[in-house]
Amino acid sequence: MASHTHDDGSDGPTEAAGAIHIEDLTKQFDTDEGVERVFENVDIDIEPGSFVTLLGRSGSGKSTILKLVSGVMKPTSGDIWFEPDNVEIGYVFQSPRLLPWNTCLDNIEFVHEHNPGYTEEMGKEYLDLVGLSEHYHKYPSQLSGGQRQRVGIARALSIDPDILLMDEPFSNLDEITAEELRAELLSIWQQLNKTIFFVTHDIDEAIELSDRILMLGEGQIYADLEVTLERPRSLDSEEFLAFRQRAIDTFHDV
Amino acid sequence: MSADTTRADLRTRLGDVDVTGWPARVVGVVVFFVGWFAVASVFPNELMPFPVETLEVVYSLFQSGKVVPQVAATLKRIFWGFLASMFLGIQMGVLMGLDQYQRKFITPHIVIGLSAPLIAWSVIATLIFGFSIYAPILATILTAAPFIAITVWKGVEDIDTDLLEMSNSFGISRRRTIFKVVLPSVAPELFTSFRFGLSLSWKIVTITEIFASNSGIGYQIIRAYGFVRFDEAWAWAVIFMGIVLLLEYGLIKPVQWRVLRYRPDTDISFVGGR
Repeated sequence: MASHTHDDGSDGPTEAAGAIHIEDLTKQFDTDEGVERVFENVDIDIEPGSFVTLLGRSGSGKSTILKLVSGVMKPTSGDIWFEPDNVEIGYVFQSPRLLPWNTCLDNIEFVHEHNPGYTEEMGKEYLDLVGLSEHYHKYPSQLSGGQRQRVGIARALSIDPDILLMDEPFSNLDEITAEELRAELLSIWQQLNKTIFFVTHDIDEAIELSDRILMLGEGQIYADLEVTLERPRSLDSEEFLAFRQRAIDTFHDV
Repeated sequence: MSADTTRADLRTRLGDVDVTGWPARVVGVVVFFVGWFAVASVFPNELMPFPVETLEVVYSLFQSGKVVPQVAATLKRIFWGFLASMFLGIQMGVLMGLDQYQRKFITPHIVIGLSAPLIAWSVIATLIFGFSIYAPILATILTAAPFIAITVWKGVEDIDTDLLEMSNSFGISRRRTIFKVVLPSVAPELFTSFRFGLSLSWKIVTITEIFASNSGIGYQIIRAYGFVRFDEAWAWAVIFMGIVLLLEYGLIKPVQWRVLRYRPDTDISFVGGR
């Protein structure tokens, strides 16, 4: 478990960030129709503190790669390792996956089984960070979709992860809420400098958020685009639209 | 009242009176007694006494000191029978929910348990164990465990695997996952099986006491019947109902409300509210 204490002794998020290395990663499933290969010999290197997005169509294996990185799924072959070795990984899912019988605070407390130093004040601090200071003791059923996803983000951040995995976290939300959350995510990322490995099928979202965009299709990473646009990025700026066109052309290359 | 009158309309008409909480229950009880009175008016008094007469007999039974030992004898049988049924039923339900092979193996037993009439198990258990406490316990297990197993099975099958994956992705231990994810997931089904299993246990124990016991509420009812004391038989039945209501509103509902209060109003009203 990563430390929750700054050098000055205060509790709260640190700026620890980890690197992800993926080498020759292959994943296949045994189905009734035979062996289904999702992707093959995938290599990815992600620098500490960077925001990297994996872009691909539905069913291309994006979420599978995140599951393999998180360790909830085992690869068929290949290696995944981190720097430092014992990184803490936070996971934000497409649906928030909150325990409906727990309040916001209890949902955050749930993931702190191995952190004896966890206090309720820490949980509140992370809920404050995502703008939920009025909702500590509410149940998920009492929150809007966007608020629930905020709790999911707060939960993942609360373990002070070196790496944050985000699996299409805004795809189930209306566009206005999604845009708000993207802005908040960028602000939090710039504040905490975590490594973020983000998955989406939305090209605009990928360009708006990322340092790098990896395109996954036909079982391969077929493009690695560095997004050089200055932040904050305006979706209707000329530079953004030009980059978007380039990304779309590349996306359809596969 | 017109057909399209809603409960909200009714509330508006009645002002601040909440007709959906305790007042509704009181009205329900009053209607029950009025109905009893009406039916008793039709039948000869020696066959069906009026509510007040019955309550007087209940009072006299309490005064005579008969009630507590008889109720205690019935409760003891229910306790062990119900406990064993829950233990067995939950295990069978969990096994059925976890694995297809186990489900196929257990299902025939469940079907047999569900299809046999209540009284058949009572007679069979009495033939095997005679007047011992094991007869009602066995009859209760054979009757209640299949119902409990079916309910728990559906609960286990419906556990949200996304929550289990979330728990796994955060490195949560198996023990914490069971207590914080699995058990709360099946809590509604556990309550349903608890309530249903308990009500079945009451019935089967009372029936078995009629056949094979010299104590307990069931025995007292058949004894009163034997002495043509129908008012006393009614009084024992009322005592029986009183205890069930006390358990329902004094224990099960408050605990259930506490455990399931996170659920939206629709679900709370489904389980009966507070």
